[in-house]
Amino acid sequence: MNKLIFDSTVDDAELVRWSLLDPDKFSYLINRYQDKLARYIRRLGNANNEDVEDILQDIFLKVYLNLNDFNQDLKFSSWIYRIAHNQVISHFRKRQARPEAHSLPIDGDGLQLLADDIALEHQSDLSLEREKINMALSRLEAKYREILILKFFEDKSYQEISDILKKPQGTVASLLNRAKKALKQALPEQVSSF
Amino acid sequence: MPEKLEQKIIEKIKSGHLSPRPQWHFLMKEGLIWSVGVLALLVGAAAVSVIIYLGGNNDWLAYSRAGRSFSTWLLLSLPYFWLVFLGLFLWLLSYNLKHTKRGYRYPISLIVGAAVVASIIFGFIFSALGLGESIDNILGRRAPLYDRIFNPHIDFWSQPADGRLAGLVVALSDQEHFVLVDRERSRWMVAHDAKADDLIITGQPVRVIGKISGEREFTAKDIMPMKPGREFFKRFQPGDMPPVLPGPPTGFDCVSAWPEILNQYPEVKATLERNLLADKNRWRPIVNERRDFLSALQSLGLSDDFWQELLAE
Repeated sequence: MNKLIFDSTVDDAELVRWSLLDPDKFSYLINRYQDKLARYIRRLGNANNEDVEDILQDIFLKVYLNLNDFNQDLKFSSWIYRIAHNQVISHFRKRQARPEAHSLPIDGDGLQLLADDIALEHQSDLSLEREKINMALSRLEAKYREILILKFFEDKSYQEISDILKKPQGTVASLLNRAKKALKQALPEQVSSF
Repeated sequence: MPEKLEQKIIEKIKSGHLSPRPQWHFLMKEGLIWSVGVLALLVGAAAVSVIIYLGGNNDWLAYSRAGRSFSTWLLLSLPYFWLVFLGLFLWLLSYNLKHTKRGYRYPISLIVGAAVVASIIFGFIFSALGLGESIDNILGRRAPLYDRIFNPHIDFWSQPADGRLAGLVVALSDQEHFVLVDRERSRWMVAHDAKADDLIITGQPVRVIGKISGEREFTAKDIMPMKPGREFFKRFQPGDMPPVLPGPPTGFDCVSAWPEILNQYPEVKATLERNLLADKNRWRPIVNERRDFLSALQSLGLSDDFWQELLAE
């Protein structure tokens, strides 16, 4: 059967069930999520291609070993992002490196959404200020950066972020507010207030 | 990357004979978290039931009789050990609730609140079933430092200098006196009026408000039963201690009884006379100090031979 058809029409829960019966079918889940997770890993921290591949491998192996732990209380994407998030933290902790600068520049719709949300003025010059926003993001505390990435660049809802970070929705909301304030403060004056 | 990575992972799974952890592994893990949580709830609730028992028998109204202000009484009699113990298990319960599959979705304040409310509800149920009293009795019978750690009331009631005495009734001397053993295992002769007769039973612990009236003598103003800590004082049962001699029967005159007893038992009389004569140099000075000594000795009805030998130089 066409792999593409499988990828688009079969839901995640079904792919999980198939993977439990046949390890080869697990490749469909890998296929579906590897690009998204690779981008997420790069956004979270400074990782080269080799690191990203290592982390991805660890993530998917962990996902496979824990497939029976997935239940439909939450979305599969939230569940796999949760594993990915924990694996990235663990990877940088082992290397005793702080995931400071992200290696994938923040770009595109996410940047626009973020700029809109923190009411950045002079947004017509947004593309010029992209680098400054990137710098400001990289200087933020990890907990602020990761929540901004999940909300604006991974396009996750409050419920999904709550499930990924294992925090109550109320905490997610207040953390997001604090993250936006911290980002605004970290931006150079000429960007945040024209 | 995509194809290569996918193949690498599948190959690793197959070559390493990896397989998903079985469902029972996760069910057991979740079950363990819930079990520890339930255990923490039950232990916490047991602590609440003991706190209710201690508090319910604290006799709040007695503070005025004990001469203390209400706030002082409260501070002195709070069951600190049980409150800390409860705090620890509330923390454990909250921690476990937070780490259940869905626990992270709820704010910590809600989880802690739920833990507190559940512990209190179950605590009241346990208290109604008598668990608080049972736990206190068991600890009273067996726990070392029970009076210092588990029950602050005993310390409060063991201050005879402040007019509070607690202990076990070990003997009834007469209708107005009884012997009480306190937690230091000291014996007290307690004088009282006859109003509290139904409380003064040998082998029962009591609390007494009054004042010290002599060396190991206490005059009672109020006598109350002891509930929390009663088993603690029962450790001082007469079997554990030198026997308490019964007091003389009412109306007994020991002065006039001696001559009759010594005549009835001549061997006792002989022994007494022999020992008095053997050591006469030691007690001769007493004759000079106490004028009534010879009269008292004469009242014993000792023999003429004894007096002859005594008075001879």
